[in-house]
Amino acid sequence: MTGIDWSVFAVYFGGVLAFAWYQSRKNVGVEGYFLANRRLPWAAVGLSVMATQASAITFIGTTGQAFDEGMEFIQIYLPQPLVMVLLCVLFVPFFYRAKVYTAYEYLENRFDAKTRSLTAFLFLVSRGLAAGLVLYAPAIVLSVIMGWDETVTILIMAAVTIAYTLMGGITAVIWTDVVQMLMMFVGIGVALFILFTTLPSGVGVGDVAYIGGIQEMWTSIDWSWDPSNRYTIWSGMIGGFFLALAYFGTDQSQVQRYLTASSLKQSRLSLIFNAFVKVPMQFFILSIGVLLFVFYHFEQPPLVFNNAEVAVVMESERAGDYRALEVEQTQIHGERRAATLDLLDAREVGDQGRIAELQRAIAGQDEALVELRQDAKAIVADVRGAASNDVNYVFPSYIIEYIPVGVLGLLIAVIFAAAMSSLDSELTALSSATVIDFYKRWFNAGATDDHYLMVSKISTFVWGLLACFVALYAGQLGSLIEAVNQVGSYFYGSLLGVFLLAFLVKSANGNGAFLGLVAGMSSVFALSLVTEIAYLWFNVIGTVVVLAVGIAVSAVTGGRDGGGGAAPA
Amino acid sequence: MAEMDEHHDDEDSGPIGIFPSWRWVYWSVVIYTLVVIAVLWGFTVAFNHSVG
Repeated sequence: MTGIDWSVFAVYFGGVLAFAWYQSRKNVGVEGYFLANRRLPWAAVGLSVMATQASAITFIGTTGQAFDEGMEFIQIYLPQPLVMVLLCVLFVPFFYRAKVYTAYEYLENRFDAKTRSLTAFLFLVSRGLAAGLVLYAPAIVLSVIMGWDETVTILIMAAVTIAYTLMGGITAVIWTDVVQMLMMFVGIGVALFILFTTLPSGVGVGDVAYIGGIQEMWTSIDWSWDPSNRYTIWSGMIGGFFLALAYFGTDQSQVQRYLTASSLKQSRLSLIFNAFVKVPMQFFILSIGVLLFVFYHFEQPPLVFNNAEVAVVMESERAGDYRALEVEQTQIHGERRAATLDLLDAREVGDQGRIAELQRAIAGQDEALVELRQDAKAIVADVRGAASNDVNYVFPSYIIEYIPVGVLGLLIAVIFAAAMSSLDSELTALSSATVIDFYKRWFNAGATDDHYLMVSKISTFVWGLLACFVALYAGQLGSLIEAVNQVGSYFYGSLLGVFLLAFLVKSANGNGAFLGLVAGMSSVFALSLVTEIAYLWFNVIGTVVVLAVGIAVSAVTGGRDGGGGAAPA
Repeated sequence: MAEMDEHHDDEDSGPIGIFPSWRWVYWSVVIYTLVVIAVLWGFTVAFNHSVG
């Protein structure tokens, strides 16, 4: 990075801290710290909802995924507008009118303390570790691509985020999210523009669409029922619907956002804003990946984008095998480049016979290059003893190699912004669940507002430290973190089942909800051991089991009044 | 959808921007989703140049 890039970077960090400090002056008490005194406008809340979901890995991982597999991942986002409608109709009015601080607090109002505590505990365990991964994933990519020290990258990101979250609570978090989300919009636009400008002269939008189409990279809708295919319209619209409903409707990191709105109307508008903007945004992010695929028809890409992994291979006894693949790649890439340029000429003169012949040649070369990349990744996996996660390195590798001075600083700042805007939301959500659902509920119910504010800040700081710890040791904790993440996907659908039970089934009681939750999680866990069901379907199964068991147990134990629904604290 | 207008506060009723009520907003989102799927399907068909 040059001086100009560093300046852009410094302006970003300085601006975020100054803006957070300015916003923090408006906070008063615990309600101010966790809910911004319920006075934020829909636009700010809506952008914060979006920024919380869009982590750095959304920005760099999905572009890499589109580079490898095309646009099909967008199908998982297609039900989100419908989910937003359901949230507005069903979830938001219940949360908003109950005047709760956390989603789980509502469950005690409706069911009982044990259901509230179990759901809050599940949230703390899964999100506590996820906060660490939000820091770790971009830090490891930037350390490999930029040569930065991984520990320093993690500590800088964490220190700045913890500082402004502590300083201004949710108000600072939401307003910095607004700035960070706007930066992401600018970053997406700039990346698309630069990609077009780095294509050879004469290659236009139509040519890009055409070249991508030879490998079906623009395929966005797959109507097939093939259950082995991870992304189809059916898995997206059904599995993705339940996943999004569970995330936006029951995860405190999202619920807390729309509880800060100044009215029920503002809260709903923030979600409707997401309904209209989210899918186009993902479309443009994925388009970056497809454009990269087209771009590398004209420039030779590395076989594996993670240069740290390549360096390890080159020190191993498999170095000769890897070099042989590189030689083969250079030859096939040269042939494909020539064929692609010939194809564009043939299209210009309308030579249909030549077009068909060149399309076949390019399709064959595309497939040969994909196979070489698979072989190269297999060598990396063999040497390292772990699968390559090269997908996260495709876009960062491009920006370091081809992006002009100044813009590079902006795009690296955007990656930081994406990570920090997710981490700050996790910290406020974790802190609110810790203080409201455990400390105040079980240990100290009668303290002053100042006392709870102090405990809330301590809690934010401790969760920030824990996130740092997980991020710094994530490499060593590898399989443990993977296991916890996997377990997290087991109970998301079950949590949704409990909330649906609360909203939709009037006769449901606390025992039904609690046993339903346990049964839902157990069923999904058992199924994951004995079947090959794709993870998106776990959410559907978990929800259905909780509803079925919850209704049955409630009926057997005497309906709504028979389940020990204690009065809320 | 039948329940869409059941939960109205005073400040939450009446026109929502250019829409007469929340019901119109929600149906617009549903139609928008269908249009997005149709456009993406058109996109899939129009830009499929595979030779196989």
